[in-house]
Amino acid sequence: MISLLKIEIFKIFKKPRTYIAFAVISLIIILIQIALKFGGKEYVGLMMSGMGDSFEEIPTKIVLNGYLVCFIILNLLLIHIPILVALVAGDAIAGEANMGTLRLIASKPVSRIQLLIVKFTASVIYTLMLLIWVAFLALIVSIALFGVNWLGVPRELQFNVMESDDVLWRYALAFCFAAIGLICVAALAFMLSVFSDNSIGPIVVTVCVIIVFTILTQLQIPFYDETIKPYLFTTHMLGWKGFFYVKAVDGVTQKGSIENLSAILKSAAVLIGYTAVFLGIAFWYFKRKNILS
Amino acid sequence: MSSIIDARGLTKSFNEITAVDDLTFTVKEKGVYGFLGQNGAGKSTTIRMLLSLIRPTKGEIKIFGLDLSTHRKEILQRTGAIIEKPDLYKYLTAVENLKLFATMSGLKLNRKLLIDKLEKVGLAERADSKIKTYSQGMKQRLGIAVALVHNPDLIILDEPMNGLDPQGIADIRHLINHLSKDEGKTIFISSHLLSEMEQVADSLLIIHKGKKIAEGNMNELLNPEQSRIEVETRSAKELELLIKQTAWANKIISANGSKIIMQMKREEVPVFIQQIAEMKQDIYSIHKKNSLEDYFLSLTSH
Amino acid sequence: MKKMFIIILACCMVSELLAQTPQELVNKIKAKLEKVNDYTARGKLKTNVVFIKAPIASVKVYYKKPDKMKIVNENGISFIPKGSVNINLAKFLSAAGNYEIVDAGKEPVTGLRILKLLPTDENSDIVLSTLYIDEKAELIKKAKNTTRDNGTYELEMTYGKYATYGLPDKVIFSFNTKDYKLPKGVTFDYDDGSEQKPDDNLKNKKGKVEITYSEYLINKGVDDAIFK
Repeated sequence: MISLLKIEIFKIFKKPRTYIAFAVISLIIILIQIALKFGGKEYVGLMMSGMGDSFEEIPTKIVLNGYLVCFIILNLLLIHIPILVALVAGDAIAGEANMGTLRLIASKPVSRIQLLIVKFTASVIYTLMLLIWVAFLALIVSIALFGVNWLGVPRELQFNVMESDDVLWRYALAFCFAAIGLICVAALAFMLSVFSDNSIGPIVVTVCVIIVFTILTQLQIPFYDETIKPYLFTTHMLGWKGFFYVKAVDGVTQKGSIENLSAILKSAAVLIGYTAVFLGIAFWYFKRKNILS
Repeated sequence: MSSIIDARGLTKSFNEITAVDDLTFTVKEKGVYGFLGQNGAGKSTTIRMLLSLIRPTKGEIKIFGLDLSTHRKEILQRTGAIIEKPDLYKYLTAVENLKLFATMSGLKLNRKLLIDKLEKVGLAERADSKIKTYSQGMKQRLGIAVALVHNPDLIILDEPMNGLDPQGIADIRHLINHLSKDEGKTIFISSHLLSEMEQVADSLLIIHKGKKIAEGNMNELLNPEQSRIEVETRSAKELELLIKQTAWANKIISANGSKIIMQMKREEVPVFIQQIAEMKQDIYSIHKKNSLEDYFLSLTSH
Repeated sequence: MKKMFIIILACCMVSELLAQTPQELVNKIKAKLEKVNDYTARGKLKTNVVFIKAPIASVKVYYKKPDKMKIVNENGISFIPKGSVNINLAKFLSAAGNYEIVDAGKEPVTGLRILKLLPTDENSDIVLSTLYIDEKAELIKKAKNTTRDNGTYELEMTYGKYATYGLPDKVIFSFNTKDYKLPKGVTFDYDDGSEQKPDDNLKNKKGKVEITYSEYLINKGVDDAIFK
């Protein structure tokens, strides 16, 4: 199985689109960092606008530090990173069918289940590598460019601040959670890939699903809030932010606290559940699929 | 000789269309087994069922005496195949492709061994070129190298000569003969090129609209009691007039231009040839007209 | 009994005669505050506002007579209420210039002397200031100021070892908070079920900022450049 996995990872990293994905995300992050370096004051102004003018202006260089820049980047990439994950996962089976190689590999002495396992695992490895790269650029490079300071997290109805030595562990957990969310996206794209003979379909459908579900997640329509929103996986994909929502006593942030850890764990469980369902469907269908391509 | 492939009552339906209907056939060990049928007859569907790419609606398949549905891995470890034109990974080189498929077949081959295998199909010099730079013939040869990389006992070739030039076709023919006669492989080959099949196949299976219409040894199928011969002469009409004065008059099928076609029992042919030689007409050639094409068209034209 | 009554009455009359006038009291407080030419103080700033969760920040407070004041956060994010320069009463008392003082008696529970100051300068930031003064200690314990542009706020002072300079150990600054809301399309919040809805308890609440001073360096000199 390891040698098969090596083959799949080899194939992914031999394709130009893999490097295009890394290059695109790097470019986007660098552009955001440049924009914030030169126009960060306006963004910070927008962020702090919720307070009205109750307080004195906090110097931009304190608020706009590496930790906040990383948070902003991750916020702005809510759709982009899943698209790049879908680009590879959606190609896993459909791409082989499109190329005509599926019939070759499916007639090799490797069970269909084994084939799917190694292909999905390779997609997951790519996803994790992409996420690690994003973490490096968004966090490490931002810290190098903007320094560290306390992190202020603007929420819709409150503003949470945490000390600089109370931030890194949150990012570590947030990235772990983001990995779960992105693996769920990969599983969706992978499942659609099994049904298709052309990788464009699964990629486009996955992206559309994410966009539509994200819009539904963010719309404040009580009908949706009570019916479908709790079940949308995009609602739960935002769980990484929960690590930056703190508890307070008399307005004072409790260091090391998480406002609602059980909600985050529940979201993680929902995402894992969705992943299992998507993969279950993929495996069930592929085992029976007539390979006609 | 034991049977390599044993298919019983093989049926495949796609919704309301029955692509393969109750097909039963046996492929004996060693030799070349030709699989013929018109477009849409069910050849590719049958081959895909043999390779477990398609699940049969009904019927069973045994290969090497093992049930395909339960011993798929063991069977495929001893089977190599080209299905239609061999699509390989265009963004990889020949060596990378070969190594990849070797690994999937459970082999760990170093570069030298891989180059040796490419040498056998004449691709060693282009071993490190990406497949997207290959011609159709080169891709076909690489496909064969991939099918043979793990030294299988059974080789299934679906239309292997499609898209090849005459030299390419000749190369494939020689390779098939070599694998069959020199290496003792069993080859199951489907092709539209009946003239080529006639040259390589030992046995035939012909299907039409998903059903078997003929199966057997090539010589037996193509040499029925009645033989058809074509005589080339200076004037077919003149020869026809002479033959009509003999007992062979009712054996004339047609006489046009320089060719006259006769049909008679196989054992009568030598006598007939002797007698027309005595007619002192210019005879340029005498050919057997019992070709595979004739046989095939006679079976499938209605 | 009658003698006792006369003595008590006499004492009251004397104490009335000896009670300071509002102007005298204000002048005494002003004089105390004016002993301080400058100071640099270290403190801890705690924010207690319904929509803010923030750690306690370490701050440095700089003051230079007559009206220069700056609160600087040494590290991190701190929320300094607007108009906080008015936390400095010396600045107010000296910069306000002329004002009318109205004696509003004493606060029943605490016994603090209540004086209302109305600046005569029409351009003054503060339009009304109500001071609650510990007459005996000559210290302002509480101040309620209504400003022209920044609403009404309250100051509550607690004194310790710097009482002789009129410098508090602790100041609690209370003010009315505005509604806090950011568009969801900007924040993309994660709904963890904890967030309050906008109509619950977030509107028009009072916020508090508390500064607890750990030390003052008084009259050691403060560079003007700090206030730029």
